[in-house]
Amino acid sequence: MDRIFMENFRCFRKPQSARLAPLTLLVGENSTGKTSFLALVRALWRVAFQNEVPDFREEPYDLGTFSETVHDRGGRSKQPESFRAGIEYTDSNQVLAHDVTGMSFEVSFENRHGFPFPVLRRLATGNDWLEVDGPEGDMPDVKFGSRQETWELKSASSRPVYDPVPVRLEPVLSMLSIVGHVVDNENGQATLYLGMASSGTPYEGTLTRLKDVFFGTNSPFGYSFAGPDHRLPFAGAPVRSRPLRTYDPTRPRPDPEGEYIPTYLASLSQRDKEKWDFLKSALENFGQAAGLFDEISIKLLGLTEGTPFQIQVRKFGGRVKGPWRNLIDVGYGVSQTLPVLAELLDSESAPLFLLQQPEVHLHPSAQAALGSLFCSVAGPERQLIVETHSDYLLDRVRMDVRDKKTDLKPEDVSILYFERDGLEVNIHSLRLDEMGNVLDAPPGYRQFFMDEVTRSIGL
Amino acid sequence: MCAIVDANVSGEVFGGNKSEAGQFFYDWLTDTKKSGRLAIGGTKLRTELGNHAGFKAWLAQAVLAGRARQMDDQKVNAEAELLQSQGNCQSNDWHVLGLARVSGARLLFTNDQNLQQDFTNREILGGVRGRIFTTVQRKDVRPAHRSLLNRTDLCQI
Repeated sequence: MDRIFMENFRCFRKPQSARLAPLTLLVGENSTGKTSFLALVRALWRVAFQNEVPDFREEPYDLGTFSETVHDRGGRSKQPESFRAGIEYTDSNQVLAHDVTGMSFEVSFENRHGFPFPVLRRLATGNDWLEVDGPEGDMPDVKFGSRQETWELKSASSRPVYDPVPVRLEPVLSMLSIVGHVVDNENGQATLYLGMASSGTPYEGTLTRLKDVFFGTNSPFGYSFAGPDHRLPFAGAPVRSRPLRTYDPTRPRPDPEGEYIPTYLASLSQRDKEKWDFLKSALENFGQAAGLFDEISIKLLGLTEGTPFQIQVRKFGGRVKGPWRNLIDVGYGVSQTLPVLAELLDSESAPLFLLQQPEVHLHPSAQAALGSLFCSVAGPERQLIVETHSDYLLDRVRMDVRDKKTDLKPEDVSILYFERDGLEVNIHSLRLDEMGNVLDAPPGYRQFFMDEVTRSIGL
Repeated sequence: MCAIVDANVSGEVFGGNKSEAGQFFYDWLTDTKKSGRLAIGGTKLRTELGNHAGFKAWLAQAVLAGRARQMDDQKVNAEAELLQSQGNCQSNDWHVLGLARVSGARLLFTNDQNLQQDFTNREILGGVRGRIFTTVQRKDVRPAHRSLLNRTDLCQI
């Protein structure tokens, strides 16, 4: 995802967009919509790439009902009846059909039984576009076209049916291929009516192109076939589960607080030694860089599979290896960081990470190390969107990009500054240059910090 | 707009030898509602300014706030060496002039009169004549100071 846009969503009233990069950092004061932003990214992922109705109450980002999700101007103003959001997607590998390099997906949500429901969806690329308005179970209104032409397929039924699944787009296009005849309107638009199959009609070229572009094997929206990636985003909560002295293995089931991680690590250490060794080494590299620990191990308390276990870490003092210590007996930062680390360092983990304040409980040096870790794992195959209040993390990212510590380039980093403006919030997209300079900062950006340093140096 | 601060006035701007005009310049650099930015780069100027504790503290925050623009030290050093080898400068502050050429900054706060002449020399800076903010004669804020900091055409970055 390269860009996200929204209107009338939570505190974001006016239409606005923000640049997304392999590593996107969300910064700004409390209650400026950063977590809502993460929730929206996840929701758009679900509806765009997985054709699901997003649950805006899904943990760890519970936004509430429709009336709590749509923008509220306060006072006696009436709330909007819908909110709108979308994403732009660029194909960095140049594998989309018809020389397409980018496409956009837009969706409007309306109130259905008190919760946001995706109604109108629009796919577009270049001059071609497709718009589907209506839920599953009913014949939707469909429009499609290119720069010069617009085609409209009228709904055969006006019966409102609101199944909790949005209509799949690809079958809609298949249906369009049996459109019978066309009646031209005066304004150049045309209305299509269902009828016998015909060929050679003027819209056939557009239709074929749309099918290839939007639903071809390489399309990110080709979810009716085997899309490029069906894995879910990883959504991390700011507070992770408390460590235990001894874990009783259960079936690992992902959750935002990372409660499953200890069991997952123990299971991995027994079942897949090669992968465990890789992950263990990566964890230890970070632990050393952050000053948290030098070595980590799983201590099984029995001989059989599924036996209770403990997680232990130890630090080295020069050449002397310190004693193993239980996870619960070391600083809280270790156990709180472990779920995020284990997910990030797992080569098979999610393609999109949504992280809320991963620096919580960490010493500034460990926060900085986390910034370096983000730089090393973010890339075209793994996008990270991180809400943070850590200057140490932000500064480390800036310096690592400047010093070319990883493959991450300045354009691979986006800093989104959430600025409150009355009851609304504006998002500013800031960039880095090759020297690590912060570009496009709006007036007022980090005024608090500049005031503090002025006071600190006595001016 | 970008400016360069010469080491000989760093105390007026970043503390230690405060002046009214220096404070005015500092506010322009630091108030994020104003447009001032500081260009910094080159080993010599970075070291000279880096000796000033107030400057170091300011720079750490200013970089994150987008108020300081750091230039590639090697490029600035190379430009300074080139200027020195050409022998056209009256001052020996090639590092400041080199930074101006690399960064595009055309506003300089300095009280060094030889450097002022070089900085306003079109041939040295490459076409555009630089402007000088100075407190040589008076330390209070003059209309000329205000006028300079209101300009928007003295930076190419």
